Amino acid sequence: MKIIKWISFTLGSSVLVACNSPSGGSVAGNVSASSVAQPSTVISSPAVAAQWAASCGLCHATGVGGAPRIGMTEEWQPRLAQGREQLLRHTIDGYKDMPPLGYCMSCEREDFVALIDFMAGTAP
Amino acid sequence: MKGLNRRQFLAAGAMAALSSAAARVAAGSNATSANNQSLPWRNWSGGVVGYPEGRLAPSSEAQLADYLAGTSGTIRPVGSGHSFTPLVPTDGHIVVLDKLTGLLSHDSEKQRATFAAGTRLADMGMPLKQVGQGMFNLPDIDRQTLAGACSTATHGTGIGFKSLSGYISSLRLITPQGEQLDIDAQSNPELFRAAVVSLGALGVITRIEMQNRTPYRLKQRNWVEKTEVILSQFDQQAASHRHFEIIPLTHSDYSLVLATDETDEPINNPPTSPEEDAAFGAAMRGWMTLPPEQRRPQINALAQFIQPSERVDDSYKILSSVRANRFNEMEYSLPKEAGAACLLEILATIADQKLDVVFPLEYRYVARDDSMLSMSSGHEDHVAISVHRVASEDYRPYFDVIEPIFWKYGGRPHWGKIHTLGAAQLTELYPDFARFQQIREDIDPRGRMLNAHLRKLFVGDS
Repeated sequence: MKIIKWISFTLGSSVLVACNSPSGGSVAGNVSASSVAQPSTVISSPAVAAQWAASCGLCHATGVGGAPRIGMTEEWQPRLAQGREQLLRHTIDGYKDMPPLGYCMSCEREDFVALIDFMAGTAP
Repeated sequence: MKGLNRRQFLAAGAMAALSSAAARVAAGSNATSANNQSLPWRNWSGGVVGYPEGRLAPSSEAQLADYLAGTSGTIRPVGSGHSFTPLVPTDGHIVVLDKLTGLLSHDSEKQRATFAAGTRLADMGMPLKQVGQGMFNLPDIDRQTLAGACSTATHGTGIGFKSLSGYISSLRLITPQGEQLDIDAQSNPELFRAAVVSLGALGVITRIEMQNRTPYRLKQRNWVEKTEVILSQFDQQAASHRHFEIIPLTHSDYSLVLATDETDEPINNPPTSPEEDAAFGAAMRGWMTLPPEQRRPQINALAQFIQPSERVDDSYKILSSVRANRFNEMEYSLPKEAGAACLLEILATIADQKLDVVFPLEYRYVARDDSMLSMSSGHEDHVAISVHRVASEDYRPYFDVIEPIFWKYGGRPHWGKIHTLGAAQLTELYPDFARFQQIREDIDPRGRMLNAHLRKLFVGDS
């Protein structure tokens, strides 16, 4: 692994942990609950899997940077417990080491909902 | 701690930090959406945000060309968002290349391969190996798209290696009017010299043919050395290794050193041990909380514990990898003869002003090229010096102090990394800058590829 990656982990890490805006200014915070609380409207498909492989899978396949791995229920449970709206907010705004939009620049809100369900195993 | 190697030292730090750091507000994360109907766009670090009217993700070049021919608003292409400068934000439309990916064709005789422009660097190594090719060099972050990395003259390290854009043999550009141009150095040399590093200002690049070589394996050795000592040896070391770079530690007398060479040795690239990492992390928490002026003896002492290590793997796995921790970065390229003095002045400034920065620097050589806007274009090789700040911190107080030092040594800012220069200064730094503007105005007379940042760079608007 590239040394600078470890360096960035290490010597840049005393102030590493970031969090979302406490002011509630998160843009994803404007998402209505209804848009994330209806997983039954989301259908996992080969298209979702392909989208995942090209974006989320870059980190969520192996757990880079502490990312919860796809299909690992025990890793997703604490995240799901925060609420689906919060998960979507973190996805769109970025959270800790999760980059904003999760490398899917073309994804819309419903795409992110489907991708979260796909990874967390909560898709209908 | 005896017997711990460098990798364990570094990995342990991550564990320590993740368990002890205070929560902070990520830079830029408290911006609010001006348009709830359209998702905001943010870069990788979160420090740049934009609210496009819409986003287009074409599934074919023809679809993109039709769109450009049939519309007139501002367009900005986006790769993977790894630029720290506001190259993307627009109130018009962004063009996302997520669906234009993959190896399109290859030429075994010429050792060239054509990739769709949205292909991530991480997704190029294996398919190239399967067709008997390997890239000469790579930047150290593998999540970038090929078009994004080339368009900003992103580079790796090595005195014998140009920026990634220096290995383009041809490319396809869809102009702002929707015209498809296939450009190479033979058919249109001047446009080619402009297009290979063009910041998305000439249109949307949809495919790139790269000059490659046969696949190869690399052995990377890492060790710790006093910064002044390694700087005195740098030219000799750079000449004797395929890749050579140092990572100077702030508030320390030491640098981490990386030397990388081709090898036929078997692959040996083991992961670090989480248990040992965690144990050593506990030892690091102490000095991480010290005031800057008290860190030097602590870090120097800990540097003694870093043992040399090495690893062997396919070239693309050694040269480039994911960067898990987000940060903001400023990088300037300057004639390599000025590099050591500039680096030492930066390190001294950090110490003298007690700047509370623990993120190390990078110091890398890059070979000259003949493009118009590559930071290494011209008649001399360059050194690229980078400073970083984790994404959760405000980078401005630090970068504001360091940037004038780069200016003093004639530095050119990396197009994708934070800087404050505009058209007037850039004209002085690039001999072909005015010619590039002429080409840009010919291709895009209405300026639909320009956002506010590009207008500052190319037109001079503040």
